[in-house]
Amino acid sequence: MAAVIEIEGLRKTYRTLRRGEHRALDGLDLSVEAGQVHGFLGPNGCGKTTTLRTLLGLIKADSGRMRLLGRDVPAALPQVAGAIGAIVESPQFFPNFSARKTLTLLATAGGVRRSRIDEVLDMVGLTERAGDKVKGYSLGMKQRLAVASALLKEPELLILDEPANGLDPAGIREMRDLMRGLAASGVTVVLSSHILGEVQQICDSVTIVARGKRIMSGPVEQVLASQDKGEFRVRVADHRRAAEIISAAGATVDVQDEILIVKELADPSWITSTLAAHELYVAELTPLRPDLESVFLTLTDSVAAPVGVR
Amino acid sequence: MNLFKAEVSRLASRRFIQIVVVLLVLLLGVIWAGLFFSHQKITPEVRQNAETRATQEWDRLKADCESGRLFGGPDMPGKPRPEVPSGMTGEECLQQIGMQKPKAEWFMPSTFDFKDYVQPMVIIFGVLLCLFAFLAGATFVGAEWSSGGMMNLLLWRPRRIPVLLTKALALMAAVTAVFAALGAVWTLLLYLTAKLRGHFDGVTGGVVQSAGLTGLRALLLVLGASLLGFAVASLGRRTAAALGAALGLALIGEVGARIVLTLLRVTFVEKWLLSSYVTAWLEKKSTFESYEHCATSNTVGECKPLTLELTMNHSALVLGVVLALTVGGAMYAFQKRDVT
Ligand SMILES: Nc1ncnc2c1ncn2[C@@H]1O[C@H](COP(=O)(O)OP(=O)(O)O)[C@@H](O)[C@H]1O
Ligand SMILES: [Mg+2]
Repeated sequence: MAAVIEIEGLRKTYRTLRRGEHRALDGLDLSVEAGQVHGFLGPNGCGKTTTLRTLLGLIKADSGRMRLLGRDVPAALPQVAGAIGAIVESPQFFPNFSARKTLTLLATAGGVRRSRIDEVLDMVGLTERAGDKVKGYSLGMKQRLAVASALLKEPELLILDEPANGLDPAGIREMRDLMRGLAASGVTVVLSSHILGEVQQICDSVTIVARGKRIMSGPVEQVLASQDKGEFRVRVADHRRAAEIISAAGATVDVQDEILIVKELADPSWITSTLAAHELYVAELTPLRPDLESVFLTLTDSVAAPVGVR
Repeated sequence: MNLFKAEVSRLASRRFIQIVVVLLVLLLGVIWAGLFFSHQKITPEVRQNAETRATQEWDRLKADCESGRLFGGPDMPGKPRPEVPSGMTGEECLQQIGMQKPKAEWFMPSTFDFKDYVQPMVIIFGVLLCLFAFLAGATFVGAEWSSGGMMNLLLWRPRRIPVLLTKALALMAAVTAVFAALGAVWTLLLYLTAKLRGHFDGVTGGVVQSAGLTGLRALLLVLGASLLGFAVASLGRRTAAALGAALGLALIGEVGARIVLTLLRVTFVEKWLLSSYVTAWLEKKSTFESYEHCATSNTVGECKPLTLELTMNHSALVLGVVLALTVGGAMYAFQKRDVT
């Protein structure tokens, strides 16, 4: 499959009068295949927004190579921009214009057909409030409007920076359904987030970033498997004896509140058979699969910023 | 073209700009009303009336001169005026002291002389529209920056310079439209005022042409003001920045520079003030006089002032350079800057 986004060795140092130099991107790599929903994950301040801004030509990188839809950017950005819908960092809109006015201006500027405005308003569920001024919108509604504006162009690639920001659980679910639908229709979706729970279910693949560097990437299962320590949760009536038996049989075991955590084990049936041989019968046996959240925390903790540096 | 249409529509939908246009119309209306109601048409009756009052006044003066009351005569004790011997007729008396018959015009209400008024009225119009245009330009791009609309637009249109130029063009088109519409109304109002409350005496093709040219120069100045506001707000990314810069320029540039340069005993401080060039541009030329050197010269008799003449050509050059630098700087910064 073709790569829709390819970034290699991206570096960016912000220079401000007040805070001096700040290295936001430190040789970041990112690769997104066509047709995927890709999660671009990392804690606050790790450089997600900076990456997306650079990719979209809003800021200039110090060095690095970027390709979008197979073209070198920023040089070819004017040619590919029409195929990319993007929102970057909870976008603001002119507060005195309605959603419809805002979208109409963008559609006019971009030469998008008028009927598309109603389509995108419907897609994000803003049709009923489309005539109201944006200043009366909740954060979630502004976020929907932003997504609507990104969808106007019928993009091949949709880039959403923290799209779940400000959405309530129902809104997040709607957003998820929307993205699944888009992905099913062939749109590549990249979404950045610092909250993992909300993206695990929809992403095909992820890139995890910390301090301006990629620390892991790949399909979600693969990322999870790489962090799978083969742990199982076991409940038996006589947990003390069971723990002794399992230890004696050569496995590592922890006891937590009458529950056994057996570690570094490939085959859980070993537990059942070992305990059954001593007439202890397993009441519960659950594999402890890491979720994205814990993987994320483990990985990003290992490169956590030293104290004193933001 | 699409972008241009969108930008014109954006501009026209901006509440602030709508409000400023309304204020502008009100202000022009007030000026016009003041002008209209403080002038009168000179009808035959008005002239008749004025002539009667002039004659009455003359008669009263004659009587007063004859009786000596004019100088504090018999009724009112005062010094007799030796140069007016008694026994003169009132006419002779007034002639003696060199008093002339009051003119009927002195007793007439002021009338709207189109020829005299048209030039200053065009200039007032131009200056007001300059303020409007500066505000419109500044808020147009300033609000766009602060609302994040600029960033959104750049995601659609990554070529920055064409985006900025299109915005500027849309602004200038809109400002020209407002200028043309209000200019037509203003012209009509001046015409009506002259028709109903004045006259067109002495209005030649030359007067009309000259007024038209002043109008054109005013339009250019107004467009320049809109671009200046646009460029400053684009540099500072805030409407407030542009307004602050304007205020700062007005205060520091004009008042401050005037004080400092005067202290430095610079002859023709005006040469360094932007406002002189604006005036010269609108009025075709301004002449400034300086008597500075008279204090130290030891020529006897009348000391001739030094004069400085600023023509509209000087002004075009100076104002053009200022504008070009600001707009050029704004474009350069816009092209280079990180949009965050
Ligand atoms: N305009 C800016 N000027 C200076 N520093 C910035 C600017 N924008 C972001 N940063 C810094 O760069 C780092 C990365 O920011 P960002 O890309 O916004 O992170 P994320 O989106 O992952 O939360 C942060 O430490 C932030 O403080
Ligand atoms: Mg961010």
